[in-house]
Amino acid sequence: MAGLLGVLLVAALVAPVTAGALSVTQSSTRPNGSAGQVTYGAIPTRFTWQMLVKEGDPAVSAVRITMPPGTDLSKSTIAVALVKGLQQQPLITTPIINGQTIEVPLSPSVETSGGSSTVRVTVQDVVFPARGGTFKVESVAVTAAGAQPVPTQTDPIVIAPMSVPERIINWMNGSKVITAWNSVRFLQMFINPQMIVASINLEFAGWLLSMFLVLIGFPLAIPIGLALAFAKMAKLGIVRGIASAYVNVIRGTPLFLQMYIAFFGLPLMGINPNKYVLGITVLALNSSAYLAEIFRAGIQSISKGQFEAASSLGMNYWQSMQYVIIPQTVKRVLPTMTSEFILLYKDTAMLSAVGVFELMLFSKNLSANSGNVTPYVVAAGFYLMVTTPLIRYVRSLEEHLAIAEGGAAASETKPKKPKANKWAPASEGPEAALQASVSKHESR
Amino acid sequence: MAEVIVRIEKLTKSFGSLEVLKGVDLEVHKGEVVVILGPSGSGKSTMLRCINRLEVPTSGKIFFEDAEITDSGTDINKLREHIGMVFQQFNLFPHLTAKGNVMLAQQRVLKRSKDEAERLAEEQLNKVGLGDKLDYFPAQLSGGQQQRVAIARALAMDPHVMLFDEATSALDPELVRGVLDVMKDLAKGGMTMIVVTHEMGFAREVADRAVFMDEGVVHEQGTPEEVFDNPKSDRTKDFLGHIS
Repeated sequence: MAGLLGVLLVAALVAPVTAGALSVTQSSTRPNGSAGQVTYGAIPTRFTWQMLVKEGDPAVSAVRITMPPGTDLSKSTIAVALVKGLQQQPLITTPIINGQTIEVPLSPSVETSGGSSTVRVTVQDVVFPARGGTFKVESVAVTAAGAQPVPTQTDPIVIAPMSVPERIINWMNGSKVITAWNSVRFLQMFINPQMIVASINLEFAGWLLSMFLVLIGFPLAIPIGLALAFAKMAKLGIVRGIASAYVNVIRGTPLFLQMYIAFFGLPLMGINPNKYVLGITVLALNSSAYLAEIFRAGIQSISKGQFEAASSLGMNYWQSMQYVIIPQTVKRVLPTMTSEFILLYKDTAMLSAVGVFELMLFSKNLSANSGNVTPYVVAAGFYLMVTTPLIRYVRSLEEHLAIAEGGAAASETKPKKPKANKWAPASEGPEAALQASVSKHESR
Repeated sequence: MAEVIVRIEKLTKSFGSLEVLKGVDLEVHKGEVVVILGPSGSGKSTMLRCINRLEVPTSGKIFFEDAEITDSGTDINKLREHIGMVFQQFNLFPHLTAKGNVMLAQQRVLKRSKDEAERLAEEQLNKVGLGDKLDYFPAQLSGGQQQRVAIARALAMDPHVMLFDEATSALDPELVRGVLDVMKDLAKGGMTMIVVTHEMGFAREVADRAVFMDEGVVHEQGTPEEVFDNPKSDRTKDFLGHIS
């Protein structure tokens, strides 16, 4: 302690004599991000530098400020002012920019007669390096005694690195082609390149959540749907009745309504489940009703002879189901099940209405904040990215099924025909029943 | 005479208002081959399907060995293990190979080990002449081959009686023979068989007894010679006149 006091005492005594009291009291950047207190590299910002000249200091005839390496000053404009108390007086100077260094001649020299004063240098449109980092800005004051470094009393400046999308957007902002593109109002509104990059970047998290919701919800819906399908075929009337009622209510009301009931009804009863858990539950319960119909139609489309053959061999109901009927059903219902997956995936969008931050809500917020439609277009791309390959997959499954069950000759020579028949009114037989249930389903 | 293995008493069966069986009585003895003849819609198949309760009789009783099939307290699945059935449409399981078809019920119903089921499946398929088609799927086999797999599938369960429901009716003429040959071998081996068929040659050659049914009742029965050559009932004469 004593030693430290001693040093301070010596410093205090020596300072006025050597004019070491000159100090930089501000060296800071203005935040330039879309939000927050962060200054990013690679985008123009403002740099403010202040030096306090106290009474007894020698007159300062020039200052030299050295910016971090990689800083772009080529578009910068520099303003200098002298601040005394509350008074601020602009100084007419001709600053010289030399690489990273700004040299500001002060004429007349800044003197301190009549109290201390502050020299303020403001650099507009300075672009810090994109990689970011923590930088110390070196300052030098020129006095009659020569040039001397001025100690900086503030924290070093912190420049946040720019992410790849931000750098791309930044590059786009400077591109003449893209500027021309955006000059067309429609393109600017719907297919704005900068917004595309920003949306892909920000909506990705929402897409992941949408995928998560459907990838958990759909597998949960399968066993529930299977149970409902068996319940609908049960011998006991009451079991059949309950299952039918459930399926009819779910299929007969909008998913949107079901979500409102779950998300606003349960809290009124004092139950506040996690909204993701609740969202998945609503999706699974909804989809299970549709799957139940798909499974039931699929099981009933298997010829009665299969069940009879299994029975004649001594297999009981569940053995026949497990080893004979279900394995054949799986192949038949796979296309319809995949279609149901596609529907459920798209239905996750409705959860945006109850505050689940999935893809739709992300794009809605982005669009509202930017006043631009592009985020929705990008969201459409995210949905299509999943649904397009699945739709192709469904088509190929259907064609394989047509070949396997409808006879190779018919499907190979006339591939269009089974598809054309697909949505025709149900004629007869279990196959028709399956297709009828499918077409009803598609029109949901 | 050998013991009775299947006894049918006053069997009736109605589908809604349509009375298909109007009181059928029939006894089948162990080792006997009984061929059921009659025009379409005479109730032959329905009677056959009542024996393993694929159709539930409206009234009457059916006994299999010591058990009453028609008693609702009977574990029908247990009895079906011993009653093999071959269908007109084969009804092979299309998702399983020939061998898989023959193995399934052995493993799941008789709880045989996979190795044993596989060995017996190969043995049965060899017997019906399909030793080289073990791993073929039904869709890759001809109708006659499929029907022979179906016979092997039933035989692998070691049935006490075999029911054939128009086993050759769905086959192209050139494929009928292979299936009939298998059935003949089976009959020679002493299997009890109840055969619904339109194959008169087969009936004459193989049957111990021919039964003529029409309009839900048995009109005539006896040795093939009696029924074919000296029919007593006019209906039988009429029927035989039409088909020959």
